[in-house]
Amino acid sequence: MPSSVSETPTKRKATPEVTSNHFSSGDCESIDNSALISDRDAHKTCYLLERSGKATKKAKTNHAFISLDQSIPESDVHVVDRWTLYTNTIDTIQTKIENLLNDADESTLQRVWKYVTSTRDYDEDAYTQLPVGLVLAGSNISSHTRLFANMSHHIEQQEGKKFATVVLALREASSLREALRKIISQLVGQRKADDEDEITAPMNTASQGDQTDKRLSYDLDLLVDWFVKQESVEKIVVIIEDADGSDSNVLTEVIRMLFVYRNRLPFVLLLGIATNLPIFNTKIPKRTMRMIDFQSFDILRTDDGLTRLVDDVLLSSSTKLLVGPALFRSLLKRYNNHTKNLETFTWAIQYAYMAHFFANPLSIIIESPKSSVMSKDHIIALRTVPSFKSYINDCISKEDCNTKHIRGLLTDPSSLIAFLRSCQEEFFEFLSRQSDCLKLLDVLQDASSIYGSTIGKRTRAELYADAISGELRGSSFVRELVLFISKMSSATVDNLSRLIDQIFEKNAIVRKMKDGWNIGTMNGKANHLKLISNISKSIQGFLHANLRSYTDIVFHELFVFDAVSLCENAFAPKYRASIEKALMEPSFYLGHQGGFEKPFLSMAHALYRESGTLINVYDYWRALSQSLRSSDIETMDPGGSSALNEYEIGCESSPLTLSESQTVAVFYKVISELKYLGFVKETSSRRSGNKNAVAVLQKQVWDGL
Amino acid sequence: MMAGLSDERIQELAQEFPSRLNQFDLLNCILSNDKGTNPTTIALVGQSSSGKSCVLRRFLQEVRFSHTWLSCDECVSLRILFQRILAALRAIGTQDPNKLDYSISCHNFSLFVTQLNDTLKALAFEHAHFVVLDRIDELGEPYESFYQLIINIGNMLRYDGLTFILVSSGTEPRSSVTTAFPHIYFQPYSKAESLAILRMESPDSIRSMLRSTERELSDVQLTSLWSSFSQVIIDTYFPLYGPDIQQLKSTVRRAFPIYAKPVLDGVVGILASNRDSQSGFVKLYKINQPLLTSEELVRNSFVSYVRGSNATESSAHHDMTVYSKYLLCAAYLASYNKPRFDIRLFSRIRENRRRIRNATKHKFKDKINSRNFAPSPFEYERLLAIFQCLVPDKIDSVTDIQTQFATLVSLKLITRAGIGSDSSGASSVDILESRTKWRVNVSWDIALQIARDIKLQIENYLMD
Repeated sequence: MPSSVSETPTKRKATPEVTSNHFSSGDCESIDNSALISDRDAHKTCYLLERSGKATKKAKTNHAFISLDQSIPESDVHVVDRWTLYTNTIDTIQTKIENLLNDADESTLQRVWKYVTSTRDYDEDAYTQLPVGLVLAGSNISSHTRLFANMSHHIEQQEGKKFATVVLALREASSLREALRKIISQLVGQRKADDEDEITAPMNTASQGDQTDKRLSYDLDLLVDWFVKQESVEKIVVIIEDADGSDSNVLTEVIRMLFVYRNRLPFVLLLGIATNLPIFNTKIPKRTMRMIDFQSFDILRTDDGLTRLVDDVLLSSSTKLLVGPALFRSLLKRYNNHTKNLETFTWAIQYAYMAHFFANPLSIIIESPKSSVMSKDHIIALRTVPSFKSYINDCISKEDCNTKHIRGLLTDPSSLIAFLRSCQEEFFEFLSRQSDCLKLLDVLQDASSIYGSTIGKRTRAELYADAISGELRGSSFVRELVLFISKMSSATVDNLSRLIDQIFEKNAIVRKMKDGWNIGTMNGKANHLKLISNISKSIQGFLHANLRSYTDIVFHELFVFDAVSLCENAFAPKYRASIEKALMEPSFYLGHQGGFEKPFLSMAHALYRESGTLINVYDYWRALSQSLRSSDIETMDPGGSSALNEYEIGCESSPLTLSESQTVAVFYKVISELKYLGFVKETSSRRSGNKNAVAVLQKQVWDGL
Repeated sequence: MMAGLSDERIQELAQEFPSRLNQFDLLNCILSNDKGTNPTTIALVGQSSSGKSCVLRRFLQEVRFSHTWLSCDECVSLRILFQRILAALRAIGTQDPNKLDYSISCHNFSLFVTQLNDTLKALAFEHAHFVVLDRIDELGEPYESFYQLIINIGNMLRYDGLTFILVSSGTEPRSSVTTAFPHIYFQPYSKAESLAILRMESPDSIRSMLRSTERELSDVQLTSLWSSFSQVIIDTYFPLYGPDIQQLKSTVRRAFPIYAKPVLDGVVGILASNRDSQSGFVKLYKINQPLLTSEELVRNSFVSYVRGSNATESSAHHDMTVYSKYLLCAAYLASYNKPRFDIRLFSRIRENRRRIRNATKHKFKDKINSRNFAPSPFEYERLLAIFQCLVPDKIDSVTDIQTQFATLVSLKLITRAGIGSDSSGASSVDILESRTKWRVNVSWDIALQIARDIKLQIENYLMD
């Protein structure tokens, strides 16, 4: 159950490999089929399955893109161009995203560090409590390992003080002894490499060195000995990354042991909590609570992260490809409802970029359109772009149409490219104006909510999709904000102008608009009314002019990527559809082009689809053996038998000589597999009205599940 | 040889420990330096923090008997305790008694007794030696059989001179109740005695609690401040903690810096003379009333303490995802509703026939609130069906739902029923079975809280 294995059903086989290059490491690794179920992998959000057997012939080039000859005849240069464009864009995005994620962590790490340093130095006072930091790390447990490894690194690397850290996953330690053993071995072992002469304490009874020391490996006295010899270590920070996902008995026992030793070993305990405090509270007995002195930390303000993502990645000045509104909405929905994980969000954006450059031959124009880059075919393809066509149509339908201009676009490549370049300029302008508008709306909301407006604040991430699709222009939300402006007091005016100064410090356009208000020159009540009407008009004008839809731009298909279903299928596949598709068309996944033997399961499934809700087992067997025999006769070619043997391991027979008993074996196997997949259920036959007991399978059909 | 302490000395010692004269006297009577007259085992029993360890420690320090002190709560297993006892005994008489020799490992009782005999033979005590097993009830393993062994160890040792002192704050194991050996009982402190103990803090340690040294107070001032503070603390917290000195002292350590801050800041006048102290105390008390009336210092829950700070708004950011909450609510409903009511609760099909029959049948059963029962297992498919009914918008069966379910399972909010050791009954479940059974693992309070977050009227879907 926990391992949601999703293979990306893309039409081109190369795509999964591309993905593996650009997912950040840590959460997503390619793994063997056999290792899939291991506990370590249980919390990954994404799995990549390596195809076993013959690999499809690898491209000789050092990139993973293939020529898109079906749509446009492309030369190798173009493919390489697309590849380099893709890698360049994705690199810039990735650094930004990494900065964003790290910055978000940084402040909390700093606070945790401060807490660790501020805890009481160890002394002989028997009434001190064990300092515990509760790190609220969010419910997305797949990122916890990375986070706590970071935290441990951060604490160890700080200058001035020397702390030893241990990261412990309690799900890997089933008992107190094992947990203590892990803590001790990590510390004592870890230091051993640094200065071998100082440490002689062996890690466990079996280790070489001092043969006379037969202390058990979970005896904390070992750690005491080690600590006494460490002169520089001031504190021992124990990080438990899954405090609430673990057996709470072990956790309380560990806390008790650390508490008992607190006056000899200066422990600081950091607990990673994936749920929230009320739930965690129910898992810790009051008796344990009395041993600890705690403080809580929030790790990641993910919603702020989204806003920053919109600013830094989606609408930044270097953005060349815009994530479309429908795609963004679907991503946001998935984020809120399913993941709450900024990392998966950024992966989806990276995937969108990859899909654009991979599948769109015209994507090469994103880097300043030059005639040298483009072939004739590209020019022809450019003229077939829908937005360009409708632009030409519009031009023609106008009364004073510029025939020369249109003719130039349709016949002369260089003028088309010049036009394309101007369109791109327009697109960049559009981006920066959108960004301004979103920030301005933010400022207006801030100014108004301070004064008790009833409108709940909408973040930039929430507004993004509406803004770029032009739906925000004239919407009730904007109208209410403008209404607020026309009612505001002079204090609010000051506040607003201060906020605008602060945020749009270097933005000439917004500053120009603001300078037009002439704040400060007018005093008195009449003047105030005049001023605010002035302001509201100018802001309304500004928003109206700039909250355009991206579809107004000609060639927007080249600058905006909005394929929702592609991304949804890749990241949140519908499993029932996938399983049924795999059974109905096994060639889709097995990668064989026609003329091969279907797996037995797939045959059985075909019969299953044809039957009613109750399937008599004997009938089923007859039908299956019949279809096995008939398919034997059909596939006489040797290629078929190899395909069969490859995918039906354990069934040694060649399809030509399938004896009766082998057929029965195949049938049993198939039935149990169908049962395991949840297609059928064994049921008592009496319900169906028969008095004699007849083995019957019941179909388990449920729409949408 | 010295025969214990004189009565006068015991009187002096008892000054340091309120109402422990009797215990000192008993210790003095029972224990002696002569190895022939000591019992093999004695026990000090009484509630936690009733002064057992410190009285014993003070006594042994005073009479200067040779002894070994071992804290059992530091030992995760009996093996460690055995090893430490032997190592400590073997270190006696060597040049460096602090360097312990851990070359022996000891797996079981009989080996322990054998090795103890060997050690005693080598040591050949002239005088009595005492091994104190402090907090024996907090040993990491069940300690009943060990307790029994120590009580009867006199029969198994071939060399005398060794006496075990057991210090225990739990009840004695049932198997050992009938065995007669000396017990010293430490009765719990009364309120006045607790106050006296709190007041005994030395000026230096009070000063170290304050940490800041900006404004020096004289010893007299400190003591006066401290004694009024102790009175306040006892009045406030004695009803809550009882005579638990440990708790009281740790509360005192947290509260005192805040309490004394107005004095250090000079807001409240120095409480030097008796005449001023009354008014100064009242002023100080008034300033600190919020501290003493709030639950901030009690801290037996993570939540109430955190609410005090500004963390309430931030907790929303770290909540589970929306559908996880729905899944959890669905799991609660699946566990606490019987499957036969599902149609009535979650569909619009009318079901008149059954209602009449149920009303008569379950007259007696309904007396117990079903929320107090253990959650019953449910099938995964049933959970999904209920989930679909609860979620307001139509959702596709994407893998994200399964991932979230898996996350809830690894957070132990939902547990797998009938697999491995955590099942209540025998596990006859086939792992390859396509149907899996699960159980919700959150209480009604939490379920209600989560349902409120997603604005789900969970009560409407429960049968009770």
